[in-house]
Amino acid sequence: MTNHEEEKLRRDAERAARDSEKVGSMELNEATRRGIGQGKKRAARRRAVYGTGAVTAAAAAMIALSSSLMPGSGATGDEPGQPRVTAGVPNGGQEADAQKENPKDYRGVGMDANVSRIIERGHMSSIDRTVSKDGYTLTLRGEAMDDRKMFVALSVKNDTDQIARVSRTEVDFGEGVHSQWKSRMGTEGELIPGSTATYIAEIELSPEDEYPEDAIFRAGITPGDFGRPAGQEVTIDVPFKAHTEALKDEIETVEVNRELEVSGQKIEVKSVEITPLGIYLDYAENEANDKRLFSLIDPKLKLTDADGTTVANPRFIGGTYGKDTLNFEAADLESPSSIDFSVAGISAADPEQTRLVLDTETGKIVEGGEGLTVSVDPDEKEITLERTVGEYNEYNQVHADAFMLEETFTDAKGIEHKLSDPLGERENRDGKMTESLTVGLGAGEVAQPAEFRIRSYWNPILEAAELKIK
Amino acid sequence: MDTPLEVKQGSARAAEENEEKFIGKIAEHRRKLYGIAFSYLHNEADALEVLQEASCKAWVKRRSLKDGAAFLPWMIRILINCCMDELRRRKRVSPSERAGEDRTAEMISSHRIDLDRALAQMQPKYRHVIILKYYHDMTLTEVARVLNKPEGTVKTWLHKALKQMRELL
Repeated sequence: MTNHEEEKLRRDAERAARDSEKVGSMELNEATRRGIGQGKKRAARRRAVYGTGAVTAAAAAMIALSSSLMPGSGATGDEPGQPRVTAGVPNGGQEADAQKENPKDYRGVGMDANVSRIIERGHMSSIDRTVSKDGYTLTLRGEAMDDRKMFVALSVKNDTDQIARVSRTEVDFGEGVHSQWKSRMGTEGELIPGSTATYIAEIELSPEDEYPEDAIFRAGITPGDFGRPAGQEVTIDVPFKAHTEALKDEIETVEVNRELEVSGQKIEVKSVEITPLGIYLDYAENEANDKRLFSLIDPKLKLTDADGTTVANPRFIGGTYGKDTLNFEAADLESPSSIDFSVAGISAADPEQTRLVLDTETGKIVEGGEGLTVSVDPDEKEITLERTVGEYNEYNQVHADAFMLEETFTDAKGIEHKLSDPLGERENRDGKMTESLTVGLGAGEVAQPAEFRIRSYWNPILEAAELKIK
Repeated sequence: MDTPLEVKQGSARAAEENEEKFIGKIAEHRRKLYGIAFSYLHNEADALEVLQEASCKAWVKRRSLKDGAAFLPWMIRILINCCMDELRRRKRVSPSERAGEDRTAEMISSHRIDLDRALAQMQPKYRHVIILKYYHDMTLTEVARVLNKPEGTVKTWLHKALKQMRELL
């Protein structure tokens, strides 16, 4: 039940904002300076073109030519043929390692800053395996993996005469080995006839599984435009050797097994794993806790080098769905001598507060559901639950857990039903953030009243806590 | 009484001061502008290129800006037009999954590609409202100023954009 569009937008906005903060002031200065320099030249050329005679045109052309010496135009110049603004990408040849992907080859491919840096740092091993089928050519370009995730770079060329799109990307390591597609990044979603598009697929792996070298990358390509498939999906399998050991030596696992206590609730920090692709903190709720934990608020890691001069604060990406793992981006600091973990608090509630009994035909709450209002749409067999989160402010927008229900509910006869089509929305009502969750009740007859379980909602206990991990 | 030479020097100084002010304004808002470009393009290098292009266009058009206080919405308008040009030029329109496909993985994923696909399917005006409101926390009044439309119109666009997004995700 994670289908909260506004939640997704907020999370994505937060990610984009943080990614965008990583750009240096120098690059921004350079971009605006060059832009204004170009603007001066363009304006001068216009004056030349629209001038009243050859003399004016010549004078303006001279201004245009000499303007590269003027303040604001940039000493490096921006005439055709000269390099445009880059993102501070190091020269790909620095490592001179033919087995690694060259960051220059990924210019123009939209991806998270974290992935971009992984390629820049030479962690993506080259594969270069190509398979063609039914007019599509898939090239597996490179891959980087630790024991939690894998990034795969692929290019697809469309030699058919119609638009297509990549509808599926997955990696098959064999039966019983966990491999779950998480996302696909790229800038060219449509495969225009004759064109090639590049993507980065993120695959979730499990630290409990052993991953064999032999794997199959599988992509589904569907002809036709969005919403208008024009044929059957073409599945392309590309067998490849995964670089299961490539980053192993660079992985550091710190066993912690100590507790962080927030408002009497104990959270056992089990371990922190630092890899070139990310940092993973595994934790567990203490079973003796009297509250049910929804989330850790604003978790932070602080990594410091031996001299104490370099400090890295890797960005928190989010939790792993269904697991007690906090994911952070890879840090700029290798082999930190100290690691500190902190939270601003927890969002948690008494177990009884997560129980909700209601009549799904009338919307009347029988038990629980404090602060909730329920409305019913009998035609659609849907219910909408609404609550006030708190003030409509940036903090709540970023941190507040979405109101979610468990995926099933039980009716008065003990029959289990599955909820469908969850739709969450938040809005600003007179300065208050209100959220609503609309869910489908399914086609089956529901004996009244029905019992639901609340998976999460925003119930913050703001009590900061820290733990020295290393 | 000023001589023609003094008048000429005076207006040159005023022009220089105006230029400095203009450059200062762009510099003041460069990070915000970059952030908006990044929201559209999701790529550092591309966002910087667009910021460069928008700075260039703004300079060329700077005399069309009559109200200095309206600089930021005006500049953002130029910037998002540059972003859309860039997206069009590079055919950066991501299709969304069609209804009925296996959406299990999507349900688990909260990643950008899903949103990008949904946003890419929207009319540019809806996309602008979503990005400016949710990614840059602008009020509808501010969004209306950027897009140069009445607030009521923008509110309607937002409603329709969210409705479309629900259908697409």
